[in-house]
Amino acid sequence: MSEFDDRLDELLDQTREGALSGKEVRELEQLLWSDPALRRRYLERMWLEEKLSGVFQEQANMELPFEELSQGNGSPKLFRWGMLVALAASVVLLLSLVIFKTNQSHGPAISHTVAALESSSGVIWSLPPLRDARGRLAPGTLRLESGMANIRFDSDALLSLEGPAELIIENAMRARLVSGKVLVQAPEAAHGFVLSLPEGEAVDLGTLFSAYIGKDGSLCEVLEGDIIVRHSNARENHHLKSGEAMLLTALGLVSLDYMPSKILAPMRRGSELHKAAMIATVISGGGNEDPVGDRMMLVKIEPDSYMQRRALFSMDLGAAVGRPLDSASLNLNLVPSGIGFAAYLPDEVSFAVYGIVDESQEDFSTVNPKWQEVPGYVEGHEDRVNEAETMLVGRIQIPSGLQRGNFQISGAPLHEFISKDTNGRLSFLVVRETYGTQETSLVHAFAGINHPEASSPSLELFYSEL
Amino acid sequence: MLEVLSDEWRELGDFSEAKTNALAVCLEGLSDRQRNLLAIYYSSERTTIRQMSESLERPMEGIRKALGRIRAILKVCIEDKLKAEGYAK
Repeated sequence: MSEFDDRLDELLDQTREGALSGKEVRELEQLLWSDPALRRRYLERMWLEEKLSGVFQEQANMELPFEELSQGNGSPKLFRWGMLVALAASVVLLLSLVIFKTNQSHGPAISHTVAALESSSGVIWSLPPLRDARGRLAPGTLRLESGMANIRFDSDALLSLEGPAELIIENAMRARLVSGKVLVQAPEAAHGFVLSLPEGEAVDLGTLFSAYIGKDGSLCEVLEGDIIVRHSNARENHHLKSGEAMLLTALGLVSLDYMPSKILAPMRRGSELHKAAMIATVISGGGNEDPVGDRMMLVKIEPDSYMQRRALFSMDLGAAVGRPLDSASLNLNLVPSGIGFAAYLPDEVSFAVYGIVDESQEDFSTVNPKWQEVPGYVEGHEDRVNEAETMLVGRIQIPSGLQRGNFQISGAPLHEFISKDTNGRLSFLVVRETYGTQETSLVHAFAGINHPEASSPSLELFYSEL
Repeated sequence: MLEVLSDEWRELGDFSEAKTNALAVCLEGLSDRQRNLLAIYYSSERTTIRQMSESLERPMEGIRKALGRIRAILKVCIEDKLKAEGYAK
């Protein structure tokens, strides 16, 4: 092979990648003019390029065996060959022809696909993946709200994406995780598959690894085999082996001496769950017929002062007091009370959840607590809540027919309430804000300490450290 | 130039169907590794040698040469098959 052959090949590689400069176009033309053998080499290469692209793109789309390559030799392909001949003429022409060729081949909407949705479970997409008529996936962004989707790339890499997550499919050998969690399985054939992360990338060397994007960075954990983790700023590379984990932060790579997925959920090492230690239903008007004990807390609002019901519960924070808090989530489980009729409710029912700020009032009795002695009481106005003793931390709104479900309250007011605590105990009051249309409207209930099906109120606290 | 190339292209395409069949057979004769490399490069028009170099952690020149070698193997294989079937020019 002559040096001109080598140079021709190099220029043709650049042509295919659209990286040919104007000077190189002229050089290519000169080479082709100068030697019939080079022209033949050029044409043979163009023929092979076209055929190989056709084979592997079609195979990726349809998994056609090579034997079927011989079919489909009709005029459109000859037409495309003719167009390829013109590649040497100009880069501008090349660009327009390649675009035209792409449209001829696959239609204007999706020019090519690089992956397929192999299976899924309970998926809800907020941004579904781009698919062609056969359901194959094209490069682009997808957002999974919940559930799990297994995406098989044409390189044979398998990505198990767990919602909520956002992923950008780039090509058969590369994807970008924007948020959420993914498990990457790369068999031998997919050696070199790259998962881009906000702070760098992980290169799979034929293995099984997970990546999780959290507030402090991206966590990579190798479950089998090896990967290379590369930081985008420092050009820092690190070889990770099975059983090793690394955090990619804005500042650099941080080796972890534990496997987060085996100890706790990734990035949740700094979380604590506090379950309600005391619960009670407070009934106005001297009502003392609570038949539910500590199984549930009843909640109802009435136009008159008799038989109002409020839920009261508290939990101990223990050593958590004073720790710098990142976020918090208060969890409540709605359960059927068996008392009253949902038909006597308006379409939507609202509950307000208050934190009790007056710590001197937190020692309430769980057995028949007196309405007047419970924080939030306003004399003569049983349907109101004393705002000097309490702080609104959130609301729950549900359709009238709903009698079961898990509800979470989080956000700045809850964070502020927890941060102000000094005695290591947090107490909450739940009141219904929506009146029934009849006296026998439904009494709502939240699961208590000994409910047979649902768990009692709990508070999950997240700290910023891993 | 276009005219010259067009003429030569038509001449080259004489045994087009036989060549395409030969290519299919020759592709089957490649190793998995060679076929995999072709698949990565040709399954998407957007794949570049630079991308493959980063992904596979191999120098660009090495990948360029490997692809060149595979294309050369295919070329020789196709010519041999055509000769064996009496299509020699």
